[in-house]
Amino acid sequence: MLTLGTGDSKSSDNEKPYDYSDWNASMMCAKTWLAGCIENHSECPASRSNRHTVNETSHSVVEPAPYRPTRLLELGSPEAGKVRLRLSSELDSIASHYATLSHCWGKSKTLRLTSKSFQRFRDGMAVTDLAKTFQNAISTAQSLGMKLLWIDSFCIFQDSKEDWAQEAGLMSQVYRNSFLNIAASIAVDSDAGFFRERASTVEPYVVQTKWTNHSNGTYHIYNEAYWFENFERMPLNSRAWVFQETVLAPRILHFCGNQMFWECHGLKACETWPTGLPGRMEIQHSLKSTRYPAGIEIFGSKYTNGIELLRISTDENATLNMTSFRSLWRKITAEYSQCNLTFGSDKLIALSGIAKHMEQLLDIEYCAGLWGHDIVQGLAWYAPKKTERDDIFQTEADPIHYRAPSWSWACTDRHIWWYGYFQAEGQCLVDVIRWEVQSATGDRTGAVTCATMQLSGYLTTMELHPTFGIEKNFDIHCDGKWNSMSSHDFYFDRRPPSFQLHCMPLFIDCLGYLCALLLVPTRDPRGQFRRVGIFRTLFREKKPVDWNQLDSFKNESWLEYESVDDEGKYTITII
Amino acid sequence: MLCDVCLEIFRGSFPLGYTEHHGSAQSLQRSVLEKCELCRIFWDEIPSMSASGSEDIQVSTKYRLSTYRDTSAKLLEFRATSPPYMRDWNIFCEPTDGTRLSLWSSSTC
Repeated sequence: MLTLGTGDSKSSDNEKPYDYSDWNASMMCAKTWLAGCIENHSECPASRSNRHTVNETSHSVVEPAPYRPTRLLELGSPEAGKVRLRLSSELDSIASHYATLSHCWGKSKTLRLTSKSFQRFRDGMAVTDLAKTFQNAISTAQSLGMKLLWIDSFCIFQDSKEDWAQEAGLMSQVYRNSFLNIAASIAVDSDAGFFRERASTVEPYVVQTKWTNHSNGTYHIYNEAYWFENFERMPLNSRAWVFQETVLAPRILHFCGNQMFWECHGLKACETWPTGLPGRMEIQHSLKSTRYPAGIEIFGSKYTNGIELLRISTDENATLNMTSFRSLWRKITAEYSQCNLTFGSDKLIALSGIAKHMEQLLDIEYCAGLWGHDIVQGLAWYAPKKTERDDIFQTEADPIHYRAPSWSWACTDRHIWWYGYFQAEGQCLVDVIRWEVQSATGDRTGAVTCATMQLSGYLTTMELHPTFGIEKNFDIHCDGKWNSMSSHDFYFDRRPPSFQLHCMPLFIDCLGYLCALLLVPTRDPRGQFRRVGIFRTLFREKKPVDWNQLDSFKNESWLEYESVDDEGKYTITII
Repeated sequence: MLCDVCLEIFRGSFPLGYTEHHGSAQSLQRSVLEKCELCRIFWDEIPSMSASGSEDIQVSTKYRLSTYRDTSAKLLEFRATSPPYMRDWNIFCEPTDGTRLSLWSSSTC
């Protein structure tokens, strides 16, 4: 007779490790993750090696955190049923660490901190007066022995632009120094709450085989896409503002509906797989994985609260070198570009916490979503078509309000990816003369009001003609010859106002591909351009266009530029 | 639990090559309603294979079981076909080696 390990009930043998429907047991699981991280993860910030200790019996933290946000909610006992808003300066220096909350605001208009509600929060707010997501967060923090909780809705004045601007600038520190970030992953808004009935399927599924012609065994069975299905698809993970919170927070307890997930640099786990996810499960999207070693260096244990700078090594064998840095930043921006913003104008602001942290830690210059030390690679982003059948020009409207220069990925709402420029093997074809970024608030990582970049390089005219008059495929006129677009990879950020384009090559990558910007002149002043896309072609191919002869291309009379030097390199400015 | 159709994967002769699984959407749905751990993995995705939704979708599923890259793990590949669409899912069967997940025995609970 066949014995299925978890056939009718979940476990074929022995007793259940715990009742998964039991909240206390779930919290014990979370405490074990937390304690394990503090005790054992050298790659995680605030681990024991960073001088923090955990009381073995209660798992409550007994040493102070180095940083506290301006305001915090002080959690009384669950029986008291009240929380109080406290100023950091009022808190005992030996008070415990604080937790943070990542949540979707949604459209619900719930009680928040304003000049009117301030005194109520100071006197003590009944937990039952708060929206359900916040009630659940408070319960969680209390269950884990946390006494302080930071929630943006209650710790930033929601009716003060000045306070918001001030506190938003501190966001990177708030989450970076959080002892634990509670992620209301399943909750679509403040009212939804995130406590759900624990699923009966939380235990890993086990099957014992009874083959007649093959060796038998007992197997855990799991879907390769388990992580995506049960974790990544959560509503919270699509919110752009939350993206930096989860990247910066050292450890996150995700409430994903039927079970909790744990994420830190040392462990990815869930209640089904509490000691770590199976090796063959696809979790490639996690920025906290070893696939992004620069991430561990920058967001993990090497962080030293700004006392000591990290350097991007020139040694290709170093964990943090140019290659790993690029890989990390490309991943961050690509993932971020898939997230949703209520206000497109927040595109750079909602990522400024990460940018600020990296800028300070690595002593590098941020430039409207690009990095000054790697600006040529920074220009090589593109917005891929979702499917091959998609039109070559996007149908989405350009943002109404200016938010970023056309050369920055932050100017588009589309999902972006990058062409790789591998400096060691590649060849740079453009010189960046200067760039200038004007910020809205003086914060270089925040909103941008105006930005320019002056480049010097080869410049060619390129005219597009729809094949048979249909804008599906184009013939290209370049270097005095006609050829088909199909011999190149074209990606347009937006529909160009004219099919008379300018083309400025950026680099030849290690595989021999030439990557170039597609530009249209603004004509005010002459030599100023907007980026409209990018294209890539194999450099070595001499036909139909010999890109090796860039310096002697036949250009049309409508070629525009600021100046040209003796080597045939043109100076232009892109806005 | 597993439905009777999925149980067959793990008993009798070790399946070689692609083997018929559920022949219709109705059969698959019955297994999902019986809370079959495997069938429900791909049931949610079936409607996306048809413009008309799951009500009248013509779908059949088959599976293939193999040793995964010379390891002790097995790879169970499911394929759902609803012309002209086809989708694959990979399910891993990881040996438990007689051990259970160890967090609980080492934790304070």
